[in-house]
Amino acid sequence: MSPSLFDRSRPTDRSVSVALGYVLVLGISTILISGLLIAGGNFVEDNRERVIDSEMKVIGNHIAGNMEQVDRMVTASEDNMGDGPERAHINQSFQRLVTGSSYTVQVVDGDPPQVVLRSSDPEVTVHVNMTVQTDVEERTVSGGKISVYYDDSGSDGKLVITSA
Amino acid sequence: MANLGSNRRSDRGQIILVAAFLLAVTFVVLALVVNSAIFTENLATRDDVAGSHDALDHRAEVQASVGTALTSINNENGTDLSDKKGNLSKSIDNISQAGGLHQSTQGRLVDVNWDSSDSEEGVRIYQNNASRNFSSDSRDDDWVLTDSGNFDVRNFQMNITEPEEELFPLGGSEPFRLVANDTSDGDIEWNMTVEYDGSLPTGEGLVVNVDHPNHDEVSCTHELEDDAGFVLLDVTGASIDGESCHALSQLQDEDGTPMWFGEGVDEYQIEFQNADSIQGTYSFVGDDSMSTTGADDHPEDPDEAIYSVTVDYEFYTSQVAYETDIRVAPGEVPS
Repeated sequence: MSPSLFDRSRPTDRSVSVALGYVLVLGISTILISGLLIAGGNFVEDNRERVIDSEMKVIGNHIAGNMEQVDRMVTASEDNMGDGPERAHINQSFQRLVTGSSYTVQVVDGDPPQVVLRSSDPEVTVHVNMTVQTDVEERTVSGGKISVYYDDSGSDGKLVITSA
Repeated sequence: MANLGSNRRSDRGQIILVAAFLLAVTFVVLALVVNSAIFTENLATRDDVAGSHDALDHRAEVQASVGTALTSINNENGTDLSDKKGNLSKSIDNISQAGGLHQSTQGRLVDVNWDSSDSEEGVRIYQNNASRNFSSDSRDDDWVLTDSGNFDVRNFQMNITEPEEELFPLGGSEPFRLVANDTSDGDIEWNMTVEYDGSLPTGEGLVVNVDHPNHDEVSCTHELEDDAGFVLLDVTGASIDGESCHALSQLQDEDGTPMWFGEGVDEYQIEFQNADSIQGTYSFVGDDSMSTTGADDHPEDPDEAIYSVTVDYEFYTSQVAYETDIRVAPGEVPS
């Protein structure tokens, strides 16, 4: 006897394509989960840029502070003796990577002189102003152990930054 | 046909598994970012490099200590210059040792060195008798203390005793005057008068008036303590009993007009006028360009003195280095 259309004890799957069902389920699942991953990825990337920005600002302020302190040592000697000190330097170690990205530190002469930090990936740039009376030498070094020293080998003494 | 019944083996959810794996990787990267953020907060709260401020602070302490030793050794009457240099050398060694010991407990290496040839000689002119007025040895009230020249003077101090009795009252015609007189041009002089003012609302006071070629007369008033018996006037240090006197230092006007001793005159001789209108002791040290050969007789013979010394200062830690010369000339007016 053929089963009746109204027999509720047996499930019916007439005119249902299994392959289409699977394609739809997999497709929608893939789209939803991809959306979740893309949003999550963007969230992480945005936060990574923000953290790199604040991390480099902190490092930049420490370096600018060191340069201002060496400048104070130089001007104390110049005000007293008319000449700079024989030696003045401050060394400080910072991490080589900021949130997984390497970075460079550049000293730019200007009004006012600035310490500029740039990370490589993602590309974030931070500027920190400093107030110094001694001239500064423009130079770029990579992040890590930084030394700020007074160089009087030229005609005028200058503040120089280098990798220690 | 494919067997899609319920008894087939369970292998559903592959995409969910892959997605979960990728999310886990995302969380690990997020953990790195959060860790960096926490580290940034920690880095931001750190102090400056240890010792970077102390290098300058200790330099100021050394300058003050050597200055105090120099003043005290110069005030030793009756010792000649080589004795003074020997005593100063010992004092500087003590300062270096004491400071070095204290700093070494914090991991710092500090040294102060002095070569006795690194000094400028000078002359100290003084009177130690507190009961005498400021007249010359032959009791002249208007007299010349030095020859005319282009010289520097430092640590010019007057300890005025019994000011209410001995000083000329305010508005009187002949108050005591200290003059740096440029004799090449009759009107060019820096001068200071000291008067007593008994009419202050708060009590008795000392009034110091300063006048020089580049500015009109300026005054400062200092209230005297009851029954103090004396008042200390530091001419080059611009203070009266420790209180600063702008009339002797720098005005708070737009230009910051300087009023320091000797301002406005290049070559001068030092004179006292109306020296009977003041009583007490005085002392100052002039550099090696100051001479007294043609001056009037001093009540006490001028002494050889050390005008300034230059010491070598070194401050080292594992991260900081500061090495410089320090010129010490206590009580010198700013140039």
